[in-house]
Amino acid sequence: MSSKDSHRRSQKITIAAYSSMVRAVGTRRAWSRALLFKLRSQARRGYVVKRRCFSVKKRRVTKKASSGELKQAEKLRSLVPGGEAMEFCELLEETADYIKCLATQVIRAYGKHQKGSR
Amino acid sequence: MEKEKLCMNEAATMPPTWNLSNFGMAIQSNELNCTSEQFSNCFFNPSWENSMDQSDPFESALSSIVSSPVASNAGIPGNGSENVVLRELIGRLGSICNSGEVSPQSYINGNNSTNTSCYSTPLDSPPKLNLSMMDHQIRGNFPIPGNHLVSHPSLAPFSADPGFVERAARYSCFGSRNFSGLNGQFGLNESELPQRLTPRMESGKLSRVSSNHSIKLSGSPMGVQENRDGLLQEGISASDKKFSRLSRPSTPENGEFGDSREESSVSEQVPGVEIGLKGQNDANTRKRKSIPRGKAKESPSSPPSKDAKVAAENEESNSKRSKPDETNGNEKDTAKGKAEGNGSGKASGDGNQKQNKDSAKPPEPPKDYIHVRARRGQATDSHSLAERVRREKISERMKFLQDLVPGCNKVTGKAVMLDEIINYVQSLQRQVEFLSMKLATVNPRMDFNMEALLLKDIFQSRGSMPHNSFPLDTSAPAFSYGYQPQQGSLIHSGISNGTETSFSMNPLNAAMPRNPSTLLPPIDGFGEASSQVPTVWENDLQSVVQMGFGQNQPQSFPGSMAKTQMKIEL
Repeated sequence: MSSKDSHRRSQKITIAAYSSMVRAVGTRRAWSRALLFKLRSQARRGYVVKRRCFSVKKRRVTKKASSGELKQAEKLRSLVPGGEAMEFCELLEETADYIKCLATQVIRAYGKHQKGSR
Repeated sequence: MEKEKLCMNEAATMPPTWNLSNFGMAIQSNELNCTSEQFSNCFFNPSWENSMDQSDPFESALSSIVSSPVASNAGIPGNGSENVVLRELIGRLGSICNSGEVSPQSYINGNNSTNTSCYSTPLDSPPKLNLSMMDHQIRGNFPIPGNHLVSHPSLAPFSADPGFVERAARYSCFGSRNFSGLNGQFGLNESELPQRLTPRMESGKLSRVSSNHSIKLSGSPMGVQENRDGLLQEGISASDKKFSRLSRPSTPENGEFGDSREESSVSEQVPGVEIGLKGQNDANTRKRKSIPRGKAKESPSSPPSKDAKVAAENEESNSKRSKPDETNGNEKDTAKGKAEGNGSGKASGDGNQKQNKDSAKPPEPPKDYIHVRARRGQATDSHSLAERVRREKISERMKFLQDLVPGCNKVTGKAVMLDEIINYVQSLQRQVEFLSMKLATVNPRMDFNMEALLLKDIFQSRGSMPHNSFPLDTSAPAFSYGYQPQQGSLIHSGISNGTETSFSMNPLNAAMPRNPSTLLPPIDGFGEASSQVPTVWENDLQSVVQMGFGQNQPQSFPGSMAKTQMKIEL
């Protein structure tokens, strides 16, 4: 039970982190919109559906992803929210913005942590 | 203390390169806690829709972060003036491409004496680099490479020059004009600019132009533009040193440049320029002459080969495409082209013979003239053209990503690059999780209400919301819903649920009656937090609440999550 609790806890914290990031970015970016939609539907449903749908999609995609490049693209799609529905070109752009936002968040969080620990 | 050590240990396990950069930034972010907020505000300011603008504040934030050590070294405790200065800087940087503005240099110098040291770096080297970078940015809407942090402070003197942007823009498109027009351009500019800075920039440009021009004499009319583009690109992508080397020799030639714009005098400057550049030019000349004859020469070094390849390729595509397209193609192909086109049928075996050794180059090099001819026929196909455009777009994006991901400058090839990107994204996500959890434990705030945050209707009804505070603050202390009137019943239900699930392990469970009213008073340490119990408290949030309660876990951080200890600090 404690492990499950801890898992739930960490999940909630992660959700909080991502939702704050998404709120900051707004709907300007495709990944932000996708993540916002996912988080909102999660909130409404009250649980996380992610895993199930994910595996289904993976089965479909893996047939095509035989070459190295497509595997990488698929992996990138899995990482960037909303990447499943993007073309490669768009995926790269969204990845860039996503990286930028993540890095910003990390820097800020780290700075805040440092400040708080003083 | 232990937590700090833990953080260091945890962080040390993460990929070192990225962590180093993060640490480097974080160190300065301490000083910049309020300023970084502004940066982020600038980042996510909805009015800055343009992609260039999005990258601009990011880079300006980086520059400000870089400049912060200067401030901290000067012992400036108060961030107020710093904020103002940096905000100004951000604004100036953002408006660099739009219009000329007041020189921030004097402003910054006035505010921060220590900053002058970094802003007044020798104007020759950074301006050259930034010239090309600005050009690059203006033309291609590319971000300034994130790794060139050092050059950013020197962007400030740039914006001091109001006409710089227009000149850069003009330089970018001078290839489409004839040389006399170019001369007229320079003459005009020269007369405008009293400053030392700009003539040097121009001389640097001119030195390139001269080399281009000498080539132009022998080669095609597109040579000027392409070589210039190629040289600029190479300067941007690879060699800053080349730039500085290039700029310095050109400084003494300033006077000569000022005198005459004729070909002869310009070509005279060429020998005075760096040998490397000259060598490149020679190589380019050779290449340009040889390529039309259908010969493939081995280049002495890779940069010239890049140029040559681009030039050659552009020659090939010259007949097919309009000039603007070509400019774009120039940029993208000269970039470290992720050869997705390797898969395309065009590349084939010819690509291997090609002068350049870069395996990641775009696949249309006209190695063998006859083969090129055949491929040309293919190139007119709409599908091929579209595919080519797509490939160029992808290479452009990959280049952008290369600038974002640290340590990817040396990486060539799309596959390796993609691997790096994937690793970096995963690492960033892990870091975000780790840091947010860490912050959540450090700050014993129970105000997490992500669902309300996400569901806009509830969010708006609250009124008080994280909108005021900066949303990126993952510690979420700002979600202070506490003072809502509907607390009573919800708290009751929430806490009762919470007590069942999470408090079970709590040693105080037995001591505490299951009564919300009595629950709150004993929590002295969290009295302030508990008074701000969120109004909408669902079952799922109990774990989050436990996060806030279970703070001060000295042992390993992930382990602390597992223990639902409610430490009441009396």
